[in-house]
Amino acid sequence: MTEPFVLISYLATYGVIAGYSIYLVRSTRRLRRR
Amino acid sequence: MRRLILPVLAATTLATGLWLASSTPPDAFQGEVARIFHVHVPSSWIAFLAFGVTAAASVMWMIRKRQRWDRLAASSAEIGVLFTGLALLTGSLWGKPIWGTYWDWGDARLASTALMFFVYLGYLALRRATTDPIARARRSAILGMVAVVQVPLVYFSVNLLRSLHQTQTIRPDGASMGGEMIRAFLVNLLAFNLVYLALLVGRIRLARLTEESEAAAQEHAGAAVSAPRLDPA
Repeated sequence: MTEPFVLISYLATYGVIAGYSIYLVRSTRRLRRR
Repeated sequence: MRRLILPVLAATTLATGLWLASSTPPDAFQGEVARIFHVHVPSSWIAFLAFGVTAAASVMWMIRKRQRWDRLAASSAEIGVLFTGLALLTGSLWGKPIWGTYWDWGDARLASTALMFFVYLGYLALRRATTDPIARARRSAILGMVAVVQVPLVYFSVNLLRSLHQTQTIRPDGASMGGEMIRAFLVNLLAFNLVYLALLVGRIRLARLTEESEAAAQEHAGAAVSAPRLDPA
C-alpha cells in the first residue's frame, strides 16, 4: 500500500467518497434548517 | 436512526475491503501496483450500474411522468459521473507503472470511457439548462435512454478492438485470479455497491428537499404579485 501509485489511487477513491458524503449531509441539513 | 444503517454498513464493508486488499500477497507479475484493481474495477462497475439505473428510471419517467423517476435518474447519473472519474483516474495511475503511460487515445476502453464521462457530464449540464421541471425531465430522460448504449460498448471494447487493456478478468468460464485476490475483490465489489446505494438514497433525499425549497420560494414569490387594480375613474 506504500507504493505511491497505489497510495494515491486509494486516497483519491476514499477521499472522493468521503467528500461527496459530507457534501450530501451538509446540504441536506442546510435545506432542513430553512 | 434507521437512516444510519446503510451508511454504517457501507463504511464497515469498505473498511473490510481495504483491509483484505492490503493483506493479499503482491501479484506475481505486477507486484504491489496490482492492488489498484480493488478500487479501479469496482469504480467502473458502479459507473455502469449507475448509468443503467439512470436509463431504467428515464424509461419509467417516460411511461409514468412521475417526478420521483426523474429524481432517481438524475441522482444516479451524478454518482455515475463521480465513479467514472474515479475509474479514469485510478486506471491512469495503474497504467503508468504497467504500460509506461498515463493515457493512450489509441486504447479503445480508455477513449470510450472518457467519451462516456463527457456525455454524462453533458447530461448533468442539460439538467441545468432549464428551470421548467417537465422540460428538464423530458430532455434528460431522452438523453438518459440514448447515452446508455455506451455502457456495453465500453465493456466489450476490449474484445471488439485491440487495446492495452486485458480482456475480462472474470468470465463465465472462470477467473484469471487467485482465490485470495478474488475474495478481496468480491468484498470490495459488495462495499462499492453498498456505498452506491447509500449515496443514492442521500442524493435523492437532497433532490427532494431542493425541489420542495424551490416550490416554496416560487409560491412566496407568487404571493407578492397582486392583480392590477381597475380604477373606477
